[in-house]
Amino acid sequence: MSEKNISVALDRDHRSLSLQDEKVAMEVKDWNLYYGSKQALKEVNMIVPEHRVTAFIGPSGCGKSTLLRCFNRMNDLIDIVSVEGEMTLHGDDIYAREMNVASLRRRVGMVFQKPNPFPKTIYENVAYGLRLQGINDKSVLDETVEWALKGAGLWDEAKDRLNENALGMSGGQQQRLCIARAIAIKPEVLLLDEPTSALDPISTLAIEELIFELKKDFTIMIVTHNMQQAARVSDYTAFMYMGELIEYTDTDSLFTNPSQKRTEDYITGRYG
Amino acid sequence: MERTEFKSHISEQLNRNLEDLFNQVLEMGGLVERQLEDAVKAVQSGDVNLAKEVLQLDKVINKEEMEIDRLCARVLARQQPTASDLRLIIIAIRIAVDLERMGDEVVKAAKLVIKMADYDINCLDLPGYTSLIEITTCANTMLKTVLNAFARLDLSDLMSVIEDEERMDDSLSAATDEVLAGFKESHFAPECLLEMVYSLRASERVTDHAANIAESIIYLVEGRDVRNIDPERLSEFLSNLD
Amino acid sequence: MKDWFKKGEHWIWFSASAVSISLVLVFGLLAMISYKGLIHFWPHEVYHIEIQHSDGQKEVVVGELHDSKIKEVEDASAPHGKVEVPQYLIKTGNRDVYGIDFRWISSEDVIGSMDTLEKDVFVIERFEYGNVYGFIDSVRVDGQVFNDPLKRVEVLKTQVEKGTDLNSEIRHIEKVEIGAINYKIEGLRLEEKKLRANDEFTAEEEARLNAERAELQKAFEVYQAQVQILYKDSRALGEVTLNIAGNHQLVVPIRKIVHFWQPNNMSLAEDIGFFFNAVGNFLLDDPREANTEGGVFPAIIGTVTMVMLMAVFVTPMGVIAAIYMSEYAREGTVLRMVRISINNLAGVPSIVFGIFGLGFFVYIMGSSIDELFYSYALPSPTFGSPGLLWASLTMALLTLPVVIVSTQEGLSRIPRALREGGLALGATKSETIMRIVLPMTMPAIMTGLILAIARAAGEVAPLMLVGVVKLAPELPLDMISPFVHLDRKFMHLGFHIYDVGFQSPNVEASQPLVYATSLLLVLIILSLNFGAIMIRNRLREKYKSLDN
Repeated sequence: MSEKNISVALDRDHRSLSLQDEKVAMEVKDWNLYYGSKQALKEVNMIVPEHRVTAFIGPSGCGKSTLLRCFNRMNDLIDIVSVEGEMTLHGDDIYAREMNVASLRRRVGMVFQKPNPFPKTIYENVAYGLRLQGINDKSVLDETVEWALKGAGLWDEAKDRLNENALGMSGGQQQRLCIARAIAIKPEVLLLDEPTSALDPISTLAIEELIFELKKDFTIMIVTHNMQQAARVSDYTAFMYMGELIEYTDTDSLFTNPSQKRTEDYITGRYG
Repeated sequence: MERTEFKSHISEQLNRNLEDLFNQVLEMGGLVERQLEDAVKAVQSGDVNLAKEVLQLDKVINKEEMEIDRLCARVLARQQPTASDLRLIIIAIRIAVDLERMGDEVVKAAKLVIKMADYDINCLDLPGYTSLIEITTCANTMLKTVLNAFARLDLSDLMSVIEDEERMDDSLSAATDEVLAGFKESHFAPECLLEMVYSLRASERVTDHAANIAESIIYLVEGRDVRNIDPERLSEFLSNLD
Repeated sequence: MKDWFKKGEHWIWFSASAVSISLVLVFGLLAMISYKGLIHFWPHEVYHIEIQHSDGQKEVVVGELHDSKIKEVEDASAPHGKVEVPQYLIKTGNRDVYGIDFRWISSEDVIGSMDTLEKDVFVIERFEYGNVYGFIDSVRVDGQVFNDPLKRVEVLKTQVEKGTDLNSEIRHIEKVEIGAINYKIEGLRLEEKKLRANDEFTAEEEARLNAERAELQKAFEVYQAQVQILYKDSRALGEVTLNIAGNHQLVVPIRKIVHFWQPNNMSLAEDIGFFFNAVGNFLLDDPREANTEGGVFPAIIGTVTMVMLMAVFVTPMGVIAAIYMSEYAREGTVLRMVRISINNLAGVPSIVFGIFGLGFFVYIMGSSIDELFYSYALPSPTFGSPGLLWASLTMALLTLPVVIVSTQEGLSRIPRALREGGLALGATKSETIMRIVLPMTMPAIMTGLILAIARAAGEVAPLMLVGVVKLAPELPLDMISPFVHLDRKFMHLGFHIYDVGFQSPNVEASQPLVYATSLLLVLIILSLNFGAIMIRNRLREKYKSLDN
């Protein structure tokens, strides 16, 4: 082994990520959100890199879920919410007047905290989003269902029981089914709102592994209470506190050497 | 070589990180091994260039240690390893330290060649030379044995390492006596003899570190901390394993 | 003891006893109705009782014992100054001879015992004038007289069977075939009126209508002739002469006999056979004798049809209202007012709904419909008079609050996560409600419907104003298109109970019928509910893992 080979070997693992080098999937500029008169998000500025996993951590009520729900305008459902600022998806202003919310949500899929499969068959659950778009061609549906279930790592378990009720599955399987359902409509971005908080540790690991696989095809954002989970799955981590984005950087740096005192206190359990 | 233990996690990332770490340790071990071999050759042939290459290699080894530390920190921060995974991280750090010290000691031993070149003395003529070669060669064997044991996670050959380490202690005291006698009888400058003593001492330290690595591997595989127990009980423990 | 109170054990006992009392009451009620109702169908024994009146005149009473009570008579010699004298209610039948079916006799007048069975007595149920209790003297068929005891019973049996067949044939032709022709003729008449009203009544139309009418008339005459022949046959069936108590002789034409039996000579198996036969007749026959005899078939059909139609009306109304209120309407004063109104609607007395139904549905809506669509039939009303449609709608209105409240309850139990799941896949709000929320609310909707059915099937008061009659000439459901006749009046079990029990000329005779009809009403409501509960349970099973 010559000197040169050795230094190549040394560089092998120095692939530290940097936000400056990433392609931008979503961008948030001067984002403020109010519940009635109470401000829940304050001047949030960030870019969400494409084909990466971006995690949001922070104490309860810090606004991380609220921010996540802004990305597919889920907050529209709450009457008292008002927002200001700019939010774009691949350059399209998602809060523009002419933006169709239903089609936005097709581009920005979401998976929720508690597995929420519909009380239908496994097949119909996955095909639901397609049927909504008026796709009823059996061969297209079959193909997409298989693709989505494979993508969610559920095909082997589910292929023989596609016509059984989805509610008969275990919690972990249900959550993967929800992921399959979300990716079946091939969104650009996938939002995961505490996807494993209702699951056992092993199912949690399976979902985390799945997230790692899915980032090849989707841009993923995940909110989690469990910062170890953020550490395990994400490429970039944002720490939020009291509605503010305190620190946002690559996960390695954030968890080994955070630049902000508040981040350090939170991730080391000294917060509060 | 089967090391399924660190490949069977649900998390592919953890598998990959542990695999990287494992390979990094083996790579570093290989570098130290090569360094030690070069040092022995340099002493035997009095090749100053080779001795200087040993010094160069040490810098690479130091970088390797940093890399192992970085990998360990990353796995600890991001994957929260437990049980055997956690022990792997702990001993990887420890082995890295041991290997780095080994590298330093080898450098010290190799410096003999450079110093002797200044005095224009052939190392072969110095008192204690035979012991030096014996100890360094033995150290090399021990290092090979422990690295093999680490690679295979197999404790069966480690007994010899423990025994060799004790034997080398004795060899060192014998060699020291020989050099001390040299102070009175030989024509060599005391500086040269002193260098020889340093060199002997350094190579004996290498065997100590090899023994430490053996203990680390026992900790990794069996989960028992066998440091600071006397050699008889250690041999007994090792022979009772199977 | 103090400990016992401290632990709160007494509350457990209190609630347990409250539950037990309620259960005992419910089961007691059911047991009483069942007993009193079912005993009506069991063949009663016929007793032979001799009585002596205070004037010394002796009399023999033959009949079934139906009731007894204790009458207290003042008597100075008795220990308490009073003597208890049992009184018995005897069904003597033979109404055409005695004038009444039932008579009370006092135990003071009875000579001998009360439990002497009359041997070989016959009971004959007739289409008119109730039962005959007596002994067959002779049977005469075609001038031939049968006196042999075995032979005459056999002949009577075959003749009665023939009579039953003839009667059902006559009824079939008169009701179904001639009924259909009448319906068509009525249709032609209305068509003519319609054409005249529209000034489209041309000569050729007239010719066509007349031709059709002539054809129908011909068919009618054919049937008429058939019926005449059948009537003649049935008159030729002969007659039976009976000796009845009081040294009377009674001649009964065989065509008037429904069936006859010898209660005191029957084995248990025959008793059971008679019982089921009687239950069957009760369920499937038309009422006779001002509803006091015969069956309740039209009332069953009327009740069930009305309840089903009510369900058809109330479910969409209630569900749509509930969806609007809990999914779309903004929280505020208006919504609160609406909620209060709906809750109060549930407390409005049902007769008020009846008045509303009569005033709004029948008089306003019904008349408008008649004017708009059936003006040719005026002045005879089509929808402008009480009928099935208005009764169902009134009932739907009455039960609407129940359905709304339980649907809202169900909607509020659907986890928000599920709606969000739908929305997040790009569904609009209405798509989410239609495809996800509503199917899952089905069990709750069914619960509402069960409560609505229970209430609607049992309600009588409003129905009396909007469509129920004592005796409906036609069923609201038949084989003539459009099968369900929304404009017809109908019979209802609840009203039937009221009518038979309190409005009939022969209250004592009809009492068992009241119990039997009540039992039937309870059973119908139970089975309607049971069906709905089965459906609900299957739905619940489907969605059960959502509840945890």
